[in-house]
Amino acid sequence: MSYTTAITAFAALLDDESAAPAGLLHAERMRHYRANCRINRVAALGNTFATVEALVGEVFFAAMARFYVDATPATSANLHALGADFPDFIAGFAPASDLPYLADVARLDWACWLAFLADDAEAVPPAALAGFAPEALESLKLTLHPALQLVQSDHWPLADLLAMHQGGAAADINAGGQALLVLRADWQQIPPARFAMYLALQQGAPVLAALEAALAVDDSAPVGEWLGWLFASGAVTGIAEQNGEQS
Amino acid sequence: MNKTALLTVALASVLAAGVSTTAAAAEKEKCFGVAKAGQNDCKANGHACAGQASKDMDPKEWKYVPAGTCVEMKGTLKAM
Amino acid sequence: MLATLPLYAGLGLRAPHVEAVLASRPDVAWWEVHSENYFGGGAPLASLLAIRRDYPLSLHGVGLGLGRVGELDARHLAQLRDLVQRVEPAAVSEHLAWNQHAGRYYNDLLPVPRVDGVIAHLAGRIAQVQDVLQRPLLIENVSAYVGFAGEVIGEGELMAELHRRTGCGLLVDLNNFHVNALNLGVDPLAEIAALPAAAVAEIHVAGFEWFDGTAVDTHGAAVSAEVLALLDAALCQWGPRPVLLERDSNLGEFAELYREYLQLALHVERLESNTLEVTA
Repeated sequence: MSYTTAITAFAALLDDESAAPAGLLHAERMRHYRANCRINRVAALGNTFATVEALVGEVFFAAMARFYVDATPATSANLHALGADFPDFIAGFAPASDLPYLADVARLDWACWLAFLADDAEAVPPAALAGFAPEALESLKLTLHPALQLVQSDHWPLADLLAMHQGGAAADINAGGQALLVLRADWQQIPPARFAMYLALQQGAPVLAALEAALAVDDSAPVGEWLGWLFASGAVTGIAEQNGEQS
Repeated sequence: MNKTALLTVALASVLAAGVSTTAAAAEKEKCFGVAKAGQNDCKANGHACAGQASKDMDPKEWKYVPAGTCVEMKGTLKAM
Repeated sequence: MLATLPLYAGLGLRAPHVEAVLASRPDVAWWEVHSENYFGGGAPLASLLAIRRDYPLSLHGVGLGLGRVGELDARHLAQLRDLVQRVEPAAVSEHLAWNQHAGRYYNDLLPVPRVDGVIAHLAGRIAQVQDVLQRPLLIENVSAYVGFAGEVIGEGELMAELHRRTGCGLLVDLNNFHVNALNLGVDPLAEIAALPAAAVAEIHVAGFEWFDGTAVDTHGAAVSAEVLALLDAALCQWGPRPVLLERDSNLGEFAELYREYLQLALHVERLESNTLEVTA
């Protein structure tokens, strides 16, 4: 038996317990490996999607996560990197349909997770803009820190739900949609105009367009203050003029 | 506000901004602490650390009801 | 130099204990962590760098999958390289395992079939990793629940041969040899005897648990008497070595694990002073 043949036979038995145990001794013990692969992923998801798990309880969560794991082959050896599409799975998971906010809470958990683990990046200090004329901001683009994550629900009070699970008051699920930003382990609820502005910047819009996106939502939005906050918080890691020159 | 005024205000705001000592929005409590990031411990040396290591989980029939904090809010949920 | 760990007992550091360790700075000779938990930045990496300032550190990978068919994951390898550059650890190790096939990942440490082609395959991957990291890699034997028909080489012999071909170091997990003895009937003392002493740069001990007639390497119990006996035999043969206590499941308070560590540390020190007298 060649090396590749042996690995292929092993993998076939991991995928399907009824596959032929070609050349494998004690093939009945393959269930330990199948269980390990599954349980390791389920346990990791419980850690990553902690708010979802708290909402539905450990037993419901583990069962739901098992259905997801069985339906979704792992795409990384690093358990930290798995779960990006779990919110979409939850959105379509019939037994969770009584909890229509669950998928958005999962998106919040994933955003918190990405913010927490993002690579370190050097911040651009506010003074980096000292040499610029105001007109330059029309075409200036910012790179935002990967640890800054934005999440918004059209229907559900995500900030209230998160606060509730960090020891705050019980959330009123009918309080309406909320947006928030997460930066590393910290977060805050933000108004829709601020969400629109930061989202535009994150997606590569020039500063002026991002400010206008905020003002289109709320014409009295303090956009200068919000721009200043990004720099003051170390959330800007690059600035680039239209001609592509970066710093 | 015209474009030039808007950009002038925005630039002035950035230049006036001091760098926050926490370098983060500290208005709220932590999302989670250091203890959160350890999922890869769960598979060290070919095992699972979910308590029932290596045993199969329940078969594929759905018999579960949510039993977490959502129960506290359930009575308040209105139809979408 | 395959590794620069102190020749004393070290302790596996797991996420739930990081804060306690940073706060109390316990008397532990060196720590080992799982590399993948520190891919990325932020608080986890910052806490690891804080520990690194005060202690020797070993990076132990669980996800590279040296035995997989096809190329290694370039991003995973780059993340490991970046971490090694940031942390400058005293040792870097990976398992003799595979975890991916035909585009699909399996989140476990799967044993490599020691059939025709295994040596060339693994030697090539180890050489590639050492080229990228610019330092020797330690390779560790894993536990196995199944075997392969037509195996051409024993696990200890395979490790010795990989060392000979690539210059890599060996991380010898005595609990895994014991688990494989229980499940597959291998002779752990023969495996130990097959390993070249000069290549053994680190030893692991841990506990296992029984599930339905299979010894499962859970790292969820105290080190067994049989594994401690293997440790005595191994240190007697190789002389003083860094010995790691691993605990992953049934992980209690740090104070509890620390007591177990101190017992092992004392045991290792006694053994090693005896060994030194014998070899002196």
